[in-house]
Amino acid sequence: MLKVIERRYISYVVLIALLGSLLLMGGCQQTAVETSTPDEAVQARTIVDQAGREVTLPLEVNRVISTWRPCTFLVYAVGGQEKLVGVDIGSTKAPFTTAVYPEIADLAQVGDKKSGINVEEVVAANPDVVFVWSGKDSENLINQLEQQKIPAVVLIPESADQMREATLLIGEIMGCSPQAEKILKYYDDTLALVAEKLKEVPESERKKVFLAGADGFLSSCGTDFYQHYLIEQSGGINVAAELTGGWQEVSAEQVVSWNPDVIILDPYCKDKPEDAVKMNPGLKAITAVQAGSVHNFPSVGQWTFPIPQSAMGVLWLSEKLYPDLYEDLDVAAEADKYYKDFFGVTYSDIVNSASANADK
Amino acid sequence: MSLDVENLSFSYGERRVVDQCCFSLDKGQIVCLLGRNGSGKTTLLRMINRSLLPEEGRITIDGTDIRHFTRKHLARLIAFVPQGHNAVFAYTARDMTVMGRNPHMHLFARPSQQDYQLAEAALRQVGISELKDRCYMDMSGGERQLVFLARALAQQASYYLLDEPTAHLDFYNQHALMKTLCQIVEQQGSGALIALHDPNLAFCYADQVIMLHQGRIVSVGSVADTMTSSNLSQLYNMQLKVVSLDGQKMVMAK
Amino acid sequence: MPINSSANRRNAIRMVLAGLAVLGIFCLSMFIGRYHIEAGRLVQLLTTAPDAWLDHPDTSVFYYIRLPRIIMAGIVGAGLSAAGALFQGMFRNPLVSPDILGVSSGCCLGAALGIIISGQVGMAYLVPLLAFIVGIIAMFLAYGIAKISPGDQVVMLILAGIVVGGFFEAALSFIKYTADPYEDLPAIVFWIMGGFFRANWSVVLNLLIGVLPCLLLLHLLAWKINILSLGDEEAGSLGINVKVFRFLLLCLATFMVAGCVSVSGTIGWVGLVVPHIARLLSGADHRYVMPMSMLVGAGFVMLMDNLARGLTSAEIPISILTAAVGTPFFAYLLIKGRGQAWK
Repeated sequence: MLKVIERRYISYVVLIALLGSLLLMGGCQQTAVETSTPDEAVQARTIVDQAGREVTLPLEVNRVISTWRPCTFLVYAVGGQEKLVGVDIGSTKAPFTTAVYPEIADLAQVGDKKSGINVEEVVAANPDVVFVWSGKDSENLINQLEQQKIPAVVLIPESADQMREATLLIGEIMGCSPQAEKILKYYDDTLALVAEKLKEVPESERKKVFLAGADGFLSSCGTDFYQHYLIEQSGGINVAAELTGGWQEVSAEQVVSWNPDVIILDPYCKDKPEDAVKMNPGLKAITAVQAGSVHNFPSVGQWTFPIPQSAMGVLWLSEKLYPDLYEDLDVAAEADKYYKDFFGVTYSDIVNSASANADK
Repeated sequence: MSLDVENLSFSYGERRVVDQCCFSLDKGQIVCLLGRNGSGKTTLLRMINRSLLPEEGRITIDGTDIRHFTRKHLARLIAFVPQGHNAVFAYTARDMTVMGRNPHMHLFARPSQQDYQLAEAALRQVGISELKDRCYMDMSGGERQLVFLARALAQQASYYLLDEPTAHLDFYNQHALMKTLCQIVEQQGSGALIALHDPNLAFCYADQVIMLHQGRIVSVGSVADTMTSSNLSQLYNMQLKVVSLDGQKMVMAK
Repeated sequence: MPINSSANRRNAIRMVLAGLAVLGIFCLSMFIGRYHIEAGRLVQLLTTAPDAWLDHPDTSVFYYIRLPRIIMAGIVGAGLSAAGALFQGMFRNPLVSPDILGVSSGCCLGAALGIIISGQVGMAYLVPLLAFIVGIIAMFLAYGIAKISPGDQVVMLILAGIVVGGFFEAALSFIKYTADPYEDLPAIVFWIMGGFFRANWSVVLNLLIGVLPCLLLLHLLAWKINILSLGDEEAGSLGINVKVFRFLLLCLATFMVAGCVSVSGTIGWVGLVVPHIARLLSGADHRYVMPMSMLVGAGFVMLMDNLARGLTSAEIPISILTAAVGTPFFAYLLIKGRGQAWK
């Protein structure tokens, strides 16, 4: 008798557990239904963002939040920095953003891709629109913003084409289309100029480039990162093109067998090339090391980001690869002019203020 | 009404530690299990408690194989007092004792007032009611042994299995424990199977004696029949002599 | 339950105090956040009908973002802590945490798979669902390996858990290695980091349905855990079918832990440290340790999440906070020898 009772309890427990899991699944599916109706503002317009979502925005957008660094730089590129009311964590301290628009230091920092976005902070800043990246982890953020009736626009500035699209979209949303078009035109002109000069270099004489990446000297990236595109536009051959999946570690032997003519250090690469060679004396065999063709990519201005400003990165890199082609062109002066034109501060001033801050 | 052991055998790997054991434990009796270290006493007790499954043979209670009982039902028939216990949590003696009530409770029940009263009565019976709120882990080995006995009492089972219950007890407590056991067996009409190291305790309290040597039962029967000088000398492999003092038999080394 | 001993009365009082403390933390949490809501306004809005205040900007932040998050933190804290208390008791081992059977590793692997195979939409339910399922699979694998290996079942379970956890972590690393660096990898890394930023009412509802019954059952079975903590043989002779019972409890705890981890990611240290704090407050008896663990766990995690979302403008990963507060406290317990509930 007692045996029977005990069995019955056990079956109750199992039943409850099963029921619970069923409800769990059922409950999950409810989420899709629970979307809020868009706010019927008097003056509204609908745009399609890069994820293909239709987003209703006020006609005039004056308060903008950018949730990650490259996007903040894009907002600067179209000249919309003064409409920012919240940015990612790092941008309040980056040399370029602070030199161009010092007020950014006082804006709300809403988080970033790595540590997530603090939704309450976003809501507290009362934005007209929030620019959101398109990782699969941003869906939750978009839903939460929708609940708060804050429009979220997904941007995917990863390839050059997507970057153009994103720049134009930001320009359209923020009412900065003229500068967006202007800075993209400069971007296209610069790339065309470089391509024109590169016609003098036959395919067989193109330099082999190794980009020492963000995960240390012995890491690099293949075709799926924008850096690869930069190298190609500059007339180099990315020796690590076969890599996939973003930054990947590579062995010293692999780098030696690639035998690059030039080594470029990504701005985020923390290693010093001397140290790397000291640790791995075998690297001395590489042509680039023997010839001393090891260069640090300029860290100010984030020229490796998929942003229009990366045109300066192409110019700089191409000049490092083929100095003979650029005898008639002073890249530093060109950068100064470019930054003065578009951002009101020369590039050297930004670099100087950055090093002055670093010395403090 | 008895617990019967039929042709019980058990091996650890190749080594046979219990070999073809047969005996029965009647209600109202105290049966002492004598034998040297490693003779298979504990293994035998663990099989009867169903902690080990026998290789051959079976154990029945009133004709039913113990394998057919639920664990809970079996715990209402057999109470086990283990040799030692590596305690991990600091329960009080009272909480430890009341766990003996588990076989009488349903799945989600907690011990009731009545269960606690039974536990305290059990503690009184083994003479340690003043220790009831003491933490079990702070007790001496002997006191712990008494708590185990109290827990077995609270279990109100028909048969008691005790594995060297006197091992950590002082002289007084050895006899106190055995006397308590005699009382219980008499009052409840239950049976007790006790593995013992000291044959003299068997002289004082046993109704029946089972002598175990290398897993085999070498002698079984009443105290008078089994506890002879020659049997004991053989069992312990040393020169022993049974003497009688004021009508009380005892064994001493020559 | 008899209240005739002073220890029981003391425990009952402490339990009530802990309950009040949790309630206090809960109320306090409602006023903490980066969006400033005036206390008086909040109280005023809360006392009116819901439809009147749902559309208000102040209260929609409170209702859609803050409140579900506080509740989620509380439930997850209680669930992980109760599972930790159960595992430590059942395995008679103070170093055991709810992850011991590879459940968390399984959840992470499941989530990573979910992130890889789901499209731009569908993340919201596919990822927690897969995390939950793979977490449960991890436990069953560990249990199966232990079951078919000879030797002490408790030791085998712990070893099998380490084996399964290790393997699942390797699989996860492989997925991370091959994942799309733009879409998937950041999402996987972000998911594993853990936190309560995914809170919304449907998550809370799922947690309530999935975890609350488990908590209740664990509370009801707490006395049996006392018996189980004596070891297999003694528990058996006291009338407990150890194999069935342990399996049942494992299922219960795994269901709960997988439910929590599948929505919040891994939250470190809670399941390990909180049961020790609970034992410090209420002794060894699981009838008190279990509810005390739930209360302390809920309060602790709610408090830590307050810091996570209120301290700086960005989110602080919750595991950093639970480890930063949990480990020194654990060290303090060790040094002071205050873990008297353990041998």
